[in-house]
Amino acid sequence: MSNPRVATDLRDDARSSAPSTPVDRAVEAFIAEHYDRLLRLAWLICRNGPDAADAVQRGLEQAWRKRATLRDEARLRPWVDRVVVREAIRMGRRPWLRRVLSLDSQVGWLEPAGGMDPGLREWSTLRAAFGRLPADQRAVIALHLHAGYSVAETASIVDAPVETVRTRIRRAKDRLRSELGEAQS
Amino acid sequence: MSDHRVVPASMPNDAFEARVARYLDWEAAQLGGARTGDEIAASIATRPIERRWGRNPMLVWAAVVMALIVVVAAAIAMAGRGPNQLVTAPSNDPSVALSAPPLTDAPPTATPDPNCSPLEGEIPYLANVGTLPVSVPVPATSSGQWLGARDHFFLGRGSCDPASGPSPFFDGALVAHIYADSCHWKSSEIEVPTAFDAAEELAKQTGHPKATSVETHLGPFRATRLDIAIPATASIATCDDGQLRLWGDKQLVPGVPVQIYVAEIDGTTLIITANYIETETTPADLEEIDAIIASVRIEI
Repeated sequence: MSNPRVATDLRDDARSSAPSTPVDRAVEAFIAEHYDRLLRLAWLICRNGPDAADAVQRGLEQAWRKRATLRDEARLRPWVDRVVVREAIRMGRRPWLRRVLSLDSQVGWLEPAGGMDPGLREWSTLRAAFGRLPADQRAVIALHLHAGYSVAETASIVDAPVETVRTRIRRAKDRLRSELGEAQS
Repeated sequence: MSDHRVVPASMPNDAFEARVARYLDWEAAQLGGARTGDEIAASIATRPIERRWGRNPMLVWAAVVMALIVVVAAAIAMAGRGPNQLVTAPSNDPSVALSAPPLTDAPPTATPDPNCSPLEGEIPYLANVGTLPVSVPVPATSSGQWLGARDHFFLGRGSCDPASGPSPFFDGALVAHIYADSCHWKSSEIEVPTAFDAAEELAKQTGHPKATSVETHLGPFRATRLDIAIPATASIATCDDGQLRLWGDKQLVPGVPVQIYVAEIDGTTLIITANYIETETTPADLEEIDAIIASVRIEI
């Protein structure tokens, strides 16, 4: 699923009247290719759609403004991820910045009268527990277990020491296990 | 549904991690369920300007006003210089001209708030709460820069602006009215002629868990302390203007506990509050808050 309209919108934002350069086209292609991935990553951290969309928008706006210095995707991708994730963490941890508190992302689903499928019940509990983690713990879990970054790469993205990231991951896992009623590691 | 993973290098270390990873993949995929990516893109493209610029329309206007002040100040400053001073000498260093901007995610250079000063050295922070001059020594901390507002009492670590999330921060007010219901505050304002009345009504205030009163001191003055906190997950959307208010425009924010110190100073009711983001506050931070409250001085 791609979103070339976002790239077009960002180009309009930059008030760029110059002809499209190869770098412009590369960044536009990156945005079109990665928009959904970034939105999902931000959403796992923010836990509400409008904040996630804002975080991604800000990350991509910065990428567009600095496109001249971002010549290859190998640099562009972790850089944009870093901006988006940090913005998402910032929104997730600052109550003043939140206009919408999405309760459905922090609670489980209502159990139907006929009972809930055990697998669904576990995910319902996991969903509620994950939503209650601090934003920085959600971020490292999302980056490491969803986006597939290594611990060292995750540490670089959230600008924290590797040991701090390991601790956050361990605490998050312990808390999730605890809420699922499982023995901690 | 496309694969959202970026770097396949990291594999789950155990079965539990694998379960969490499966859940996260599923959860992330739900985002596209009700709204397609194109719909989301369209919503961003048509988002109102205040939504794209920031969280609060008031902040947008504040930023516009601040930008105008900076432009006027810069124009005044440049008008006071000679023409030669406006010309920048060309650099002989070729790297200056050729180097690209640093690859950094630092935000654009922040406009300094002329009403907000960093606190350093031995000079205590001094500002008025209403007509009362209140001072506190500069917090001795290595955990962050403290800043103080000049035109009113506001001391915060990291910022003078509560909207940008300083934690902890202190503010104060001379209070003559309290809301009996912090949720439906528009229709519940009551008069509190004395500090005793203010503390008693705050203890009875509804809209949040009841606060317990404790007799203590605010600097050298006797005071009543009340601690109020509501969970970060609490919904206050149905409250007046979507806000919980304690008195005046003082808000109670979910996830931000507030310590309230009520004291009678020279016949008026002074309230100083200490506020902090619960998930970011360490025991050392709480000790520092206590130390700051104990060091408050009020000039009467």
